[in-house]
Amino acid sequence: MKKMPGVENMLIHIINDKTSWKYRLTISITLLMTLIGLAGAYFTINRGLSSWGIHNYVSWGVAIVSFVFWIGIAHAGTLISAILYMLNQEWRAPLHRAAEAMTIFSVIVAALFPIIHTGRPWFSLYWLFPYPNQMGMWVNFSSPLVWDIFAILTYFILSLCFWYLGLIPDLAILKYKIKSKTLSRLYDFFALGWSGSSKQWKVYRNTYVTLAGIATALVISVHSIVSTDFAVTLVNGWHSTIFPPYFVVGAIMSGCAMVSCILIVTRYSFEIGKISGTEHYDKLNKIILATSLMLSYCYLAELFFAWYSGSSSELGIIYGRVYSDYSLLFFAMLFLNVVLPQLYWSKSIRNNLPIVFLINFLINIGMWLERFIIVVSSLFRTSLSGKPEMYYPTLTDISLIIGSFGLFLTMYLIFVRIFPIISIYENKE
Amino acid sequence: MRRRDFIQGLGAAMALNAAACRRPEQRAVPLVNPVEYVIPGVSNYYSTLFTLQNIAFPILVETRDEKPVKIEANLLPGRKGAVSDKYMQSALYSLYDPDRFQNASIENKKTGKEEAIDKIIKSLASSSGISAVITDISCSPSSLEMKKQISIANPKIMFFEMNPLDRNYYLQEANKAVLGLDGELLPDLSAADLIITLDSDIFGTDPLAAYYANSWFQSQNFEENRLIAIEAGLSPTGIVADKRFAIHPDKFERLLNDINNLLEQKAVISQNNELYNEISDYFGKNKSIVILGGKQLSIRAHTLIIKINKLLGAFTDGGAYSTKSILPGSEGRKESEKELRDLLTGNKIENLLFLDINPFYFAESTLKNLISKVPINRRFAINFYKDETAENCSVFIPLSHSLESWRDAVSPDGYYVIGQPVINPLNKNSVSKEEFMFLICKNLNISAFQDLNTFYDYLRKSCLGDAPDRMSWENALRRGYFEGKRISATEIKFNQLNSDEKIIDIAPKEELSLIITPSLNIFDGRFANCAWLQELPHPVSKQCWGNSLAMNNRTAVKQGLKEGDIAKIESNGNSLELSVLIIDEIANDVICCESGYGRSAGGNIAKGTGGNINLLFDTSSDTILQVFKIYPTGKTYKIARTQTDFSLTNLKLEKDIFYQPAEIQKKKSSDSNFEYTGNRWAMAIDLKKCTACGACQIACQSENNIPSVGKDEIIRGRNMLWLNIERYTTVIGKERKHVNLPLLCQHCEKAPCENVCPVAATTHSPEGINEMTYNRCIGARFCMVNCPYKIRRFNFKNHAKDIHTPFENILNPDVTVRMQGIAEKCTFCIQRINEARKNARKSGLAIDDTKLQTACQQSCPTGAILFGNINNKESAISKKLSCTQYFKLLEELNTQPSISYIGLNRNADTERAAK
Repeated sequence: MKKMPGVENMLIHIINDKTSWKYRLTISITLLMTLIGLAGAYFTINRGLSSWGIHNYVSWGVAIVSFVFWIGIAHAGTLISAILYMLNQEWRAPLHRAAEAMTIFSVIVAALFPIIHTGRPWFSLYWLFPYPNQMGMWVNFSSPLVWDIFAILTYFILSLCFWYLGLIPDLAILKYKIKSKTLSRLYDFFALGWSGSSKQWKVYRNTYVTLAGIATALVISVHSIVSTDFAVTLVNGWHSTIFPPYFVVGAIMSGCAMVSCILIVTRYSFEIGKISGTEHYDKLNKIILATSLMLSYCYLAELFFAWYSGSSSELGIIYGRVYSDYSLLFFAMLFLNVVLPQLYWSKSIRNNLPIVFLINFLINIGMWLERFIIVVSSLFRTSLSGKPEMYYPTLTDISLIIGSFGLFLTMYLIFVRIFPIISIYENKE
Repeated sequence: MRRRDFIQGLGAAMALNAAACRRPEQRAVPLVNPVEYVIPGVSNYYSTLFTLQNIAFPILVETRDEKPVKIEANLLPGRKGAVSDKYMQSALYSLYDPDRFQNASIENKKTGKEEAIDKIIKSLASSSGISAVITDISCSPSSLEMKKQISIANPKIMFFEMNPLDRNYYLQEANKAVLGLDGELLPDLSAADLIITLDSDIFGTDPLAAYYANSWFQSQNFEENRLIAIEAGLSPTGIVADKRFAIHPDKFERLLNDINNLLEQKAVISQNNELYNEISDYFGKNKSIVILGGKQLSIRAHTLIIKINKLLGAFTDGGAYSTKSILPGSEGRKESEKELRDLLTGNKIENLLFLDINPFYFAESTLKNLISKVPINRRFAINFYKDETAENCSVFIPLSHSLESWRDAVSPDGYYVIGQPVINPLNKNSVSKEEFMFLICKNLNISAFQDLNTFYDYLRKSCLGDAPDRMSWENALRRGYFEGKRISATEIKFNQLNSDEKIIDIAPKEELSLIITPSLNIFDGRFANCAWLQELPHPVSKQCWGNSLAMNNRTAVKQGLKEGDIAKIESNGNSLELSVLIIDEIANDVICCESGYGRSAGGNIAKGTGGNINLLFDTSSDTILQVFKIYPTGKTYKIARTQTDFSLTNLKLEKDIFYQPAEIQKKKSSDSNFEYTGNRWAMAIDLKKCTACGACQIACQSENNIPSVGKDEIIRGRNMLWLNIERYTTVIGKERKHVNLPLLCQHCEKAPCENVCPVAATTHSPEGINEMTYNRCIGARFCMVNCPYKIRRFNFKNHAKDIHTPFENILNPDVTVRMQGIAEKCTFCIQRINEARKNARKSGLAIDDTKLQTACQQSCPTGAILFGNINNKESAISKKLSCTQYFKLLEELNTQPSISYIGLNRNADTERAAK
């Protein structure tokens, strides 16, 4: 693995320099998006869920779609930092800090959705957590939503620790070179007296590898558990054993696509290209290609099982997807997630960053559509009646989606300015 | 800590303590002189009366703290189960309707009630010309007597009756000509083995529907009986019929003629072998057959029907008309309306008083013009709402609600029923119809009224004579009716029947026809301000909040229309725009539309739903219009419907409903690991008996405080009814079959909703009920997602916010009002079970499940719903299920529902098919 010369200086510049007008414009836009989302949240809580498009049949809408999407996005971070670390894939070095940050931000964004999705969020905030009380009233441990709470909380805490652990040596390096007094003091505090002694390094490496091991298991488990929200129900189109691997594969694909999109933008904004090659994009795209093939298998299996079950209701779901108003979305999803990634068989495309950005951006849209198709177009037909009950998102629904992207990007932009986005100690000569 | 800091902290703590002090004591004073019989939290039941035109329904009103909270049918001797319908159930809504609270007004200026009454009575009594009082048809003996007395005392005050549902009185005319009787004969459906209805919606639009349904579906050998419906549209009667023929109305007379010829063994012109075979199967085999014709049929058709009925033996012993009783209040209508028209045309009427009738809404333009010729300061209205008629009159007095005043009536069964008020008039400015007539009588110095003060005195005196017997009066009030029937058989002669009328043999034209029927939900429009009824899904089209032009696809394509289009319809220079709705079972070239919608006044809910099809009538027109134009406008409309697809895609379900063999198969016992040692509540629903009348749905809404969500929410699929009646249809052999499937929470033994709720807000009770803990619910809607029946409901809005005084009184105090953001569903009326449990505990006995009924069961006129304890082998439901084949909904999902459905297949059908 090539090391990146001058990475330290560049990062110091990013943090110390005055913000450019481009940065300020971008963060204004993302803040505005966040505000739109906040307005949507206000409407939702104030007027009740009547401002959403959901109804008696499709009673889960884009909130759950977005929840699954953002949890999926989170997966790439852990994959890159933990699994690839365990596998000694050194090309991950320029990626993993940003990817881990992304994990944390997308878990935060994802966790907001189930809360605002409930009819009485003011209760759900604490009733969903098991706590001892004099009534002996516990959460229902057989509900997948409760499993979600545990899974996501564990995932969030572990991702935060992992990311922080990786930051410690860098903070110690940077704390003397930062102009801002506040930041410097902050770095000093969080560096925990890191001096870089060999004894410290030994403990550090042991801890890091242990956490990486736990995180590896979580990559598989978290999205598997999220998939049980669907798989354990009686809903046609959800009630399927393929869901856990299906969801994990989809999550990794969308996560990698998101990481590469965001990093390509960062790379061009801060001239990182001068010090780093494109090898890691090449590798990421290979992962995307592989997961896309697995995902295609899952789509096929879904269709096959619906046919093989012989159940008219199961088949009805597939017919509904193909022939209803959602058919456009369904075929768009197939194109974006199955056909488009096949371009990555070509090495030149894998390394052509503008094209990679475009493809991965579209894949993200495809993956959002996939969750929409899974959630909405399975609920829209009951076992009794034939005609699908269509669901159309309202303005409030859309504002929440916009807000989620706004919040995510705002957090990332702030992160870029106050923390080193590339691990210094791993990339230093 | 320094001394200074300590003192500071102490001071702050004391200030906080002071702020947390209790409010000053305010002593409450207990109710030391409580009203006798009224115990807080315990219901009292009063028997009283509900009338729908001239049909009387004896009812029981449940009151809590002296406020009515629920209406039930009063059980009558000789009847099994309740005779109840949705209108009766919804009377509570109009009682507490915030829109009814208007002041009496003279020329739109607010006045006192007395002043307005004075003005009307003086004008009526002192006019030089004729003063006409127009009322709806009624069956009140006391009103009839008062009208008579008034006409004797002052012949210039004339009373007229109008029937918004029957404009031509052809049936009456035919009865008069042929049978020599004045009025309508009342068939006894329980005596019939085969009923043939000819465009007669006996289980739908007929005001007698509840009585008919009760007689037919609860008759002794209902399982062997058959119902054949011949109709142009698709009515609830057609849906429950064993066989249905969709025929263009032009063909009706010819068909009757053929049946007549068949019975007289003459040549038959057209071919409808199926129908003729059915009739031949029963004819001459000692079976009782009756043919019932709709009121809108022509005089000749009615004459033929009477003739056929005579041939079928319906008038002889054992036949449906053998009792020869006349429907109370059906006498003398034709003359009345004709005379009124003549007088109006001759400009002989000086004053017009509309007493509980709204002709400015329902009358055709000619009649409206005639009425309008009477100057506005000479028109007076006493109506329940400030409706179209009230707006067109100079004096308006609000009418009291029927639960607020004394009334009387003769029920179709012949019982004399007294209606006692169950609450003081909520609107102090209101007057009742009878009270007003009484005031006229007093004013005219009629001797019989001189020593009486109120209508109550008169009613009591006329019931008991001069020697008042307190006990018999009180017993009658307690029971709700006087013992002994007051209807006797009338004389019937068969005139004309032998004179062989020439029946034209020309082929029917089968022109495009528009059939106008009263609404199945809001009747002739009088219930238009009731949100419960507006939101009740239409029994056939499942449309809520409005009417449509219903036709089959072929007809629609011919006119260039499709579902959801807005069509413009023109007739007699009047036009109307309405949405188009496709119902494929309607006969070709027939368009069906319901009247009652499109109100321009009469309450906030009534206004602006649907279109007023009454505008298209002209004087001579029947309810079947053929002179009109219909064309697309290019606009579209989103119809609020709770069900749009009626086909059954689930093959297993289709088999269960339509084909299941009637022999009892052994059921797999539940593999639950919970043993029910005490009660185990369950329900059985007989699909054969459901006419989708909606009484259960309104009863459920009333009992369980279910909000009405409004048209927009229905369009968005947010129906709130806990009990939804879905209609499914499929083709078996060559025949199209229908089923009304009442769908409510199935209370599954292995409930999918229970194990996915994250906060355990929905749980299973040790008595087998799937319970909902509202205050634990966070609204994650996982239960709704996982319910395969999709009968869980969600409070998308805070509907309680829309309750305006005094509507909050309608709420059942035993049932929680749900807030925004929580899920709800049928509870098997858990409050009633708990009430029964409480009473049982007091008496130290087990719960008597013969007396325990859910609201839907109690209001079902056909006895389709059975609820009870299946652990008690003696309970009605256990007995029923032990001898009947039943199925569970979506059994293949292994949810093990507590509700058993009894399919449509009957032994009799299987035998017929084998033949």
